[in-house]
Amino acid sequence: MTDQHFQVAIIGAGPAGMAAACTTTKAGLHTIVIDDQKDSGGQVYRNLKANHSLSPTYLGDSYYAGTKLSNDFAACGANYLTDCTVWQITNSHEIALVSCGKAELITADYIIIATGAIERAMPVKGWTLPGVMSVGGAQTLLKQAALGADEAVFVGSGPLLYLTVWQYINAGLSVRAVLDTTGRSQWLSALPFAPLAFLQPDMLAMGQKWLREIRQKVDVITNVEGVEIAGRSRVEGLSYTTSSRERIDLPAKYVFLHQGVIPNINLSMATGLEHRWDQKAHYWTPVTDATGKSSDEQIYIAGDGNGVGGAKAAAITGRLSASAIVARYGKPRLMAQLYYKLRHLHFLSIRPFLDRLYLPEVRFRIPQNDETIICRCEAVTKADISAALGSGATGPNQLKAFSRAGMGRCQGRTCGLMVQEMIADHTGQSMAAIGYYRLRPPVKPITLAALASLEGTWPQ
Amino acid sequence: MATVNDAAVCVRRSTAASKRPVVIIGAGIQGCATAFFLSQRGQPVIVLDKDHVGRHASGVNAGGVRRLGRDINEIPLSLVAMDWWHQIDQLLDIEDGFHQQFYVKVALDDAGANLAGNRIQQLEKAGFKHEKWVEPEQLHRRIPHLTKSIIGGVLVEGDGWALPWRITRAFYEQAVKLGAEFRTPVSVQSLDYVGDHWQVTTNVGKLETDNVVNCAGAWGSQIAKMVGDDMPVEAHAPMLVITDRQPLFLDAVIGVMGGTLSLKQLDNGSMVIGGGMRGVADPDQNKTQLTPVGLSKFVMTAGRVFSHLRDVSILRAWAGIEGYTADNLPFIGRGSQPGIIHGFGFSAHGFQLGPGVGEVLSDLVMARQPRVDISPFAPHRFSKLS
Amino acid sequence: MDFPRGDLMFRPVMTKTGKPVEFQFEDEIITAIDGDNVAAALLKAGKIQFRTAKKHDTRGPYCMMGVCFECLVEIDGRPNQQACQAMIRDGMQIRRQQAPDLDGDFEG
Ligand SMILES: Cc1cc2nc3c(=O)[nH]c(=O)nc-3n(C[C@H](O)[C@H](O)[C@H](O)COP(=O)(O)OP(=O)(O)OC[C@H]3O[C@@H](n4cnc5c(N)ncnc54)[C@H](O)[C@@H]3O)c2cc1C
Ligand SMILES: Cc1cc2nc3c(=O)[nH]c(=O)nc-3n(C[C@H](O)[C@H](O)[C@H](O)COP(=O)(O)OP(=O)(O)OC[C@H]3O[C@@H](n4cnc5c(N)ncnc54)[C@H](O)[C@@H]3O)c2cc1C
Ligand code: FES
Repeated sequence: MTDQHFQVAIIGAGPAGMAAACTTTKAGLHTIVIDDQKDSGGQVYRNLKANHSLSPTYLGDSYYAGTKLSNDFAACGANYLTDCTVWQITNSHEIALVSCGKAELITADYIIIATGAIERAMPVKGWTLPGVMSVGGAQTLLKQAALGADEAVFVGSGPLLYLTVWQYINAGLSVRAVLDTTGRSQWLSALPFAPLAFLQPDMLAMGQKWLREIRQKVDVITNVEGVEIAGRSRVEGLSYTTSSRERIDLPAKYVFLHQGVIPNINLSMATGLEHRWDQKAHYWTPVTDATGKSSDEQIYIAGDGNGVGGAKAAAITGRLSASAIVARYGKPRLMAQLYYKLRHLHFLSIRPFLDRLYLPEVRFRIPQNDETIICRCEAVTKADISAALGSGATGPNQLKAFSRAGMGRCQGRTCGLMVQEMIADHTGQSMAAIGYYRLRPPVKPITLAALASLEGTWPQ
Repeated sequence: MATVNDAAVCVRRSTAASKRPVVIIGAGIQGCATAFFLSQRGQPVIVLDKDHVGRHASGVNAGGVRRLGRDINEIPLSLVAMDWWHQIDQLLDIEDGFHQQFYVKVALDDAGANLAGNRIQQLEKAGFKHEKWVEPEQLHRRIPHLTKSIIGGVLVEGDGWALPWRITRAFYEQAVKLGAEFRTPVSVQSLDYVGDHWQVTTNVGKLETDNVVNCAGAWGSQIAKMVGDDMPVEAHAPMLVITDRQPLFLDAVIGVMGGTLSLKQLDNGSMVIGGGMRGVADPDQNKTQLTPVGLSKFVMTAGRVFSHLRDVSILRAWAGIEGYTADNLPFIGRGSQPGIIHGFGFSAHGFQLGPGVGEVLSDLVMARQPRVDISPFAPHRFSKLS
Repeated sequence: MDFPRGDLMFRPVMTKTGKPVEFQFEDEIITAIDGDNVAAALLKAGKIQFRTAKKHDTRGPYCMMGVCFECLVEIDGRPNQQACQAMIRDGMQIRRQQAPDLDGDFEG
């Protein structure tokens, strides 16, 4: 790279990052976008450009809704690094990158972290067996490689689950069953917020349409409990309890699990930004003002990484943060900001309903079974965590040292909230008081030679 | 410095000491080891830590247990500590607590070799023979993957490593078994001499004691200031990285003569790489920042020693907050007021010293003469008056 | 157990055109399409066991977005490669990744 300094650096090229880049470049700001994938689009519009030429219809309109934004982004003139991971942001706003085994440092006046969301873990017995994937994983295979598995069982709850099942049947795949774990209590707590959700009639209508079409082809079983996946070295089947207390066995080779998405906070936490526990949505989010400005004046957080709001809201928050930055260069964008904020609130109107409806109950948030693995990387079970709690670990970081949970490559992305909630259960403290793992760079593993490349070439 | 007068004060004090528990500030390795030795000798103790046992330097250091390369003034204490390391399993009721190997600082060029030569001469003059020069052929035989270009090294047989968190915890657990009391998180806010004893004010109430032991690490100066002692330390944050598991290839700890590196391989195949490069420490916030360029410096040095590690990945990196003195020797000794004993400022090499420091500090509390000369560590060696 | 459709595996839902590439997985030669990632290429060939986390604990891809590290394989002699993030290339040599032992190490 020739340039080392930029006015704005945007990390993540999902809807939030793409929209932000369109706004900052339009205002003439020297902008760079860094994303670790091969192509722009983030999770929602993954592989959109390549798919566009083939236009498979099974992905649905909501997928192609990203076309204009993708095209605008491609034309906006921002510097764009693909296949490039940000592994650290320092206090002095140096951004450490690694791409193709080479590390580099750039600096920026302002940084927008738009690293999106990841799926919440659904730790049922047997969830580590090959053949079990997250629903997002199954959907990614469909978007990226046009691959699907017949006769899979989808388990869990949330919009992404139903969207993916819908995409599956539209692609001509047979789906064995949908086991919906949404409980009655979730419906009850969500219902009061249904009127607000009607501010988003098209979203509700779309959900209805998916459900209708799915029910025509697939068994949808609701109020499912006690899900256990069986198999020795791969999935062989699963069992569950119905609302009428009946225990059912189902042979299956593929099981896809989903319990909603949570902000991907690894980079913002490792950067040392302030975060807060959102008790309603049951996840950590960065502390920001209305424009996404974090506890560091120079760093903004946009998109699902600043609280899950969906693809449209992500794009709007990208524009909101970007125009706040533009304003700081003396180009006030008050009307635009107000407009984006209202649009944002509009998109969020459905969230209180969705968040309550799809917040998994505790029996799907922490394993019910002692042998179930919590930390997949280090193969730490629920029993191991209980033992560590018994021998005096009082916080996530201590528990790490006692049990190794969270010490593996994924750096706690999968087990973090489970471990925290088990501590809360054990000590009676609130989730906010317990806190999260102390996260540090590198946000993703980096090779010795890549790290050393900041100094020179690795000795032969 | 311990004078005749001080000793007299302490003899009187030591009778009183057995009544009220000794208060130790800081549950790092020094505080825990001191609590252990005092408890073993029947002295009641209360250990306070503003965070939790082993939260700071003592839980997250590189675990190097080395006599190699120490300041000549520190060697006697290091040797005493090593006696304890050799019996650490019995002492703390653990298994494989100390991985005894050898520690070598390799010379990568003539400058390194010269440094090595001077060092060995200097030690011999002072009567120490534990550090020895090794020829490259011998090193290559013992460490097959070592880069071909090294020209020798300085080696100490029997140095090695231990898991810092585990050892600090073990001192804590044994101290508790012997009756020591630990209170965490409890932060000491002031120390006041009232009548004939000390009042320790914490965020959760007050304690009374005759003897306070200051094992507050990078925060030791703040505690010292509370009792009128000016003992400056600077807080820094040395950095470490840990790699994913690799086939076992190394049963030694590796450093570089005149360079910054410490590299070891754990039983599970992971490597811990560090060596003095500092991040940014913020002791008031309990925070550290890693500096990418600093990390890359010692990782590059690792590459100069073991080039076959190029594709090994770093899983985690971290830094710990440590207090450094102006001469990189710790403060160990009595404060200017009665009943105050300091043991902090270990300048990034205090883990190995831990058991020795515990013994010495408990000697001071019990008014016994330590086995080693602690005058080089005198608390007031930098103040203008002394 | 009965499976309605014989040996089920991930299958293409549309015809993707692209240059065919050949790679080796363990002792088998497999054909894939240029532009697929390694995990997708393996799944399409019916390979779902990518690594072992410890004895009797087999794993395969889970998230497909680079988050979970369950898809680790050895590619061309280099261990710990995320199959869902790496692109398949002609002549690639891929092996399953075997478990290291899981002893204690350092905090931090
Ligand atoms: C697997 C999955 C599938 C989803 N599918 C849908 C869907 O089909 N429809 C829908 O409405 N919503 C979907 N969502 C929800 C969805 O994430 C969002 O609403 C939307 O994608 C959020 O946009 P974003 O711009 O905030 O983040 P994202 O779209 O997630 O984009 C973030 C980008 O940042 C990159 N990144 C992250 N960390 C780094 C780093 N350290 N360095 C460099 N790059 C980095 C990521 O790879 C990604 O490309 C999905 C979520 C997940 C997790
Ligand atoms: C990254 C790193 C690598 C290192 N590598 C090695 C090595 O390989 N070999 C080696 O020998 N040494 C090494 N060291 C040095 C070694 O770790 C330290 O010298 C040693 O741990 C110091 O122990 P301590 O008990 O004095 O300090 P600490 O472990 O820092 O303990 C001090 C404690 O005091 C508490 N405290 C402070 N103020 C208060 C208060 N007001 N009230 C209550 N409690 C308070 C703190 O919370 C803290 O827990 C390394 C250090 C670091 C940071
Ligand atoms: S499948 Fe999760 S990282 Fe590849």
